[in-house]
Order: sequence, then C-alpha cells, then structure tokens
Amino acid sequence: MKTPIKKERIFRALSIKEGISISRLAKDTSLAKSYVYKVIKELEREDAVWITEKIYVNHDKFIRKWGQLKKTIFQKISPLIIDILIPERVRKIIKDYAISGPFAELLIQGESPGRPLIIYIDEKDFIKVKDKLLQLGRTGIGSTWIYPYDPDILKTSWMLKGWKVVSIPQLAADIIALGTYADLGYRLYKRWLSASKRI
Amino acid sequence: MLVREYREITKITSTELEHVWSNIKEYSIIIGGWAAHLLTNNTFKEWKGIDYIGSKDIDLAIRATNLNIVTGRLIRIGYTPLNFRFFKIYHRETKRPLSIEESNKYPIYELFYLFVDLILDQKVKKEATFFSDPLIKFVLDNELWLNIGKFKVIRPEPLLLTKLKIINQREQEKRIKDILDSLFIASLSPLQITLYKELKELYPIPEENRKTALKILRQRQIDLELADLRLTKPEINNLKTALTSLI
Repeated sequence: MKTPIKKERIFRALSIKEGISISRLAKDTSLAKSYVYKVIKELEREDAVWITEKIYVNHDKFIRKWGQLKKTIFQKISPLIIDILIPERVRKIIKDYAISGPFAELLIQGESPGRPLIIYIDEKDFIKVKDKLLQLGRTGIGSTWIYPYDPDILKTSWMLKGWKVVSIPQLAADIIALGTYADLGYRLYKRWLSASKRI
Repeated sequence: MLVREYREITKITSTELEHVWSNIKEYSIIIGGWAAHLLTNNTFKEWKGIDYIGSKDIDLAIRATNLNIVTGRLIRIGYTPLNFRFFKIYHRETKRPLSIEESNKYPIYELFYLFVDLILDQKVKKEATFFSDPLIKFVLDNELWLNIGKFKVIRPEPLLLTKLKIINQREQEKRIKDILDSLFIASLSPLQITLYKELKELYPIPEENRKTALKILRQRQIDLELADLRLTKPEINNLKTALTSLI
C-alpha cells in the first residue's frame, strides 16, 4: 500500500477551511476530485465529517482520524535522524522548512519535554542539502528527525520564536500520532478551535 | 484602523525614543509598546517584510531613587510634566515639535501629544502621582532585561505579564494595542515559557483580566488589525492559540 502522504492534504485543508465543496477542496489540495470524494466519503462513514452541499467537520473525530492517519505515515516512512546539540544550526542550511512535534509544542504550550524535533522539508530540497545535514552530527541517533515530505505541509507554516512551524492543527495531529504526548495534542487542537471561534 | 494610525505616529515617536534614551539610558529600561516592538520587530520583518507598529507613548521603568534626575533631564530636553507623564506636542502633518503657545494656534485634531510615562519600582511621596509596580521592582532587582541594539529592554516574560495585568484599567484602543503586542510577544519574541510560568505564579493575572483578554481576542477588530499587518486567517488563529496557552 502506498504511503497516504497526499491524503493528509485533505485534512490540512479542512482544518483551515470547512464549509467548502468537494470541487473547491479538490482545487485547494490539487488532488483529483474523484480521490477527494472517496476520502470524504470514508471520513463521513466514520462521522468525522458530514456532507450537505458543503463539507462540515466533526472536530473530535476529525482530529482522532488525522492522528491515526499520521501514525500510519510515520510508521511507513523513515526520517533522517541526527544528533544535533544546537538545533538552530539546521536553520542555516535549510530555509524552506516547517518544524513540528514536541519541540514545537514546547515553544507554544511549554508542556512537553521538547523532544523530538520534527523538521519537514521539500523532497526536492532535501536532495540538495542532504550532505550538509549529515555533517551536523551523528546520524541514526538523536532527537532531530528530518522528513523529506509533501511541500504542501509548508504552505500553512507560520513564524514562532524564529522557527517556521506547521499550522497548529497539523502540529496537534503529529503529536497525537507520536502517542506519548497525545493529550497535549488534543488540548492544543481544542485551544486552536477556541481561538478560531469554532467552539 | 489602529495599525494605520500608529504607523503615521510612530515616525515621530521612534525619533523621540532615541533622543530620550540618549539622555536617560543609565537610569531606565524600556517597557510598554516600544519594548514589544523592539523584542519582536526583527522576526516580524523577516516574516512579513514590513515593520511592526511601534508605539504612541514611550514607557520607561526607573528606580524611584532616580526620579528627580530623570524628571530634570526630561524637562531639560523639552518635556512638560503632567503627573507621572511628560509630554511634547507635535504637529501631525509636518511632524514638527510645537511649544504650548504655538500649539494653541492649531485645532486639536492636527496635534499629537507624545507622552513619556515613568513607572517606578516603589511608591514615592510626591505631589504628583506616580505609578509603581512590584513586578517592575522584580525586573530591576533581577536584571530581567535584554540589550537590543543600543536599548535596554524589559524581557518578554515580565512584559507580557505587565500587559495582561493592567488590561482592565485601559481604555478600548489601548486594550486592542495591548492584545496585538501580547500576540506578537507570545509568538515572535525570545520568550521562555518556564520563566514566564514562574513569574506568573509570583505575580498572577487576575481572573477578570484573563477574561477581558480572551474577550478582546475574539473581537473582530483584532482580526482586522492583524489582517492590516498582512496576516492570513490561519496565521491569526495560530498566533491566538499561542497567546491563549499563556493566559
């Protein structure tokens, strides 16, 4: 089975803009309408969304489902793991990136120990900077995990204390997927819903 | 719109900040809106390609024991004392300073009163009323400041707390500005959450202030002001989440 990385685009888009049509969702995610329809029907069967003319989100189930999907993705792809003492050094090598995981959570809520630091980078850029990244520290151990990933994840990034961070719903889904601090991910998502006036 | 108005005025206050600072730097640290600007502007500019909005007033924290020296120097450089505030009058359009006599020739809407506010570390017995704040005393006693360029600026953790602790005593426009500043302090400044939480335990935010801050965060005007600062809706929601987790 293919790793469902592109499927995550649908979750990202719906977390930001609900109340949109399947055609609009297909356009926003640059995915085939038939594929989007299939995924949305699957989400509807699990009560994570409901469809009228537009798609609406049942946030409790939606974030759980997103966390499960992300867990599957994390199990199927391997990051480049590096032991870097000063994570800020990565920023000198890669300009287009977005961080996630407990490190990003620590910057926002300050409740996790801040490890690991997940860094997403466009697959194409990764090839260009891989050698430089390998020089930063020992590989295969450590708590900086670099994922060459779908560049769509970078589109909704924002600035936080000098870092580019994935959108908060994405961060919540990633933390839930990692398992250990799942409760912090749910709490973060709730805060985000409240800040977005959705609850 | 508050952001637009501040942009117009900030040209005057930023020049004046440099002037005031060069005269009393050994006695004060910058707090308030200019502190928020100095702590966040580099990252904000890198992100959005424009400057943050500065401040209309210049707020400074000083030791009560230095009040006479600072007052003397502010008067010497043209400020008129008015309780804990010191002011200069500017013509809004020409950005020229005016004497009180000259200012009488212009309608009030053409004038801008630039205030320097002094906040003390402890109460003083004076005819004029000066505000003091135990948190400011803690900041001065423990050197909780950062050197940014030539300025000495209060650290982001106590700055955020001071903004949230006074929000209920502020009028609406200042509340909006305080919340804008707080959003950027929470996300763009080098704020250390552990230090912030420790300070918050020592100097708690009153529950009614917390409620006021959350209420203002949900007001449409905040979204409009942030949109004026080139933030998209998802970015606004991310910033709000970061601040609410600290309130």
